[in-house]
Amino acid sequence: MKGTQDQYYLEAAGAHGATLARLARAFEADPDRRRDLLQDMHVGLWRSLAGFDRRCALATWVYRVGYNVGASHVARERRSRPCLTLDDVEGLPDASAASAIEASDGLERLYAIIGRLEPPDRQIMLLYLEGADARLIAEETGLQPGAVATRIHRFKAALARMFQEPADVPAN
Amino acid sequence: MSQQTDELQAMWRAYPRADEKEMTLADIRRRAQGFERRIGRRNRIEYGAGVASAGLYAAFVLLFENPIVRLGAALCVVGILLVLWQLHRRARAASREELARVADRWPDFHRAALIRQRDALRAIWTWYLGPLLPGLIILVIGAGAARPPAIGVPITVGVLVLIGVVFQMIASLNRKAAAKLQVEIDALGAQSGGGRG
Repeated sequence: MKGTQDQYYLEAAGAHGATLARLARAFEADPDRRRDLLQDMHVGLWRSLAGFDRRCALATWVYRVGYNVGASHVARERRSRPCLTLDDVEGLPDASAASAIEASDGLERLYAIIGRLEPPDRQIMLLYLEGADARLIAEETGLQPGAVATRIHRFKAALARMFQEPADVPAN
Repeated sequence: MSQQTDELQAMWRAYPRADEKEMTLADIRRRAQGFERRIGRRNRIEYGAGVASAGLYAAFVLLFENPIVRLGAALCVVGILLVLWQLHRRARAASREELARVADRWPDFHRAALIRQRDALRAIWTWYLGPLLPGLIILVIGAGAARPPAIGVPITVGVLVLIGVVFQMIASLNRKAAAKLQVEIDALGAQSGGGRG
């Protein structure tokens, strides 16, 4: 069984380690604490795979472990860092009309916003950014697909306005 | 999928990883063992404090002649051993199924964690305060009875009231914390469609 656990872990980390890295970045901006958080995610993943029962795909398993470890990390520190709602995101000021936003700045701003969202919105946006469709996002969050699609639409429109791109965002 | 969606997701995936050091299986095991050592050390400190307290009350049983004080001290020893047994029961190593729960959907995982915390807070009388109370009450009564009534009665009543107030405050704080958790649990229950995915 130990061999199987190790094999599952090597397969999961090899194929989906980047997902854990992105999740750790989304949940923790400080580099030292992020490194600890990422290691905790990997340890949590390895320990959990002793009981891997194929209730979902390995990619989904990895995402869930990373998200749960990261969200638990944030919940422990929540008192000192108030969360944003989607309404707050839509109310954030536009970027300066005079400057183009470099890719790295845009990514950092995206991480900053994602990391401060309340849990249901944060999970929806992270899954969306990882490429999950509305059906999978609804299954993972327990929300209705229509509510998921609406929130994604609002978030994309807010980001489009913030990054000065045309708000050409079709509703799902 | 719109072009903007592709660009957003591509930007998301552009997170640089050049400075990350990959973990080997040996690194993983070392860190996991580090967790377990820290938890084991914390548990040993708690057990040590409990055993030392039980030893102190056991000494009362041997040193005092007052039968009520000896009875109270003996009950305190039993109460402390019950608390230590509860700690040991709750500190057992997690099963494979419990370890795999970190891979539940977030609403189910978070809800289960909140339920565990709520149940521990609600059970504070059963597993922590309750076992200690009988011995303390009898010990205080026995110590008061050994003094002249003019002094012993007010002191005994005063100490018993103080114990009652402190225990009630602890229970009340835990009840309020459990109630706050229940609100969160109910909200997650309303959000989530069902059980473990």
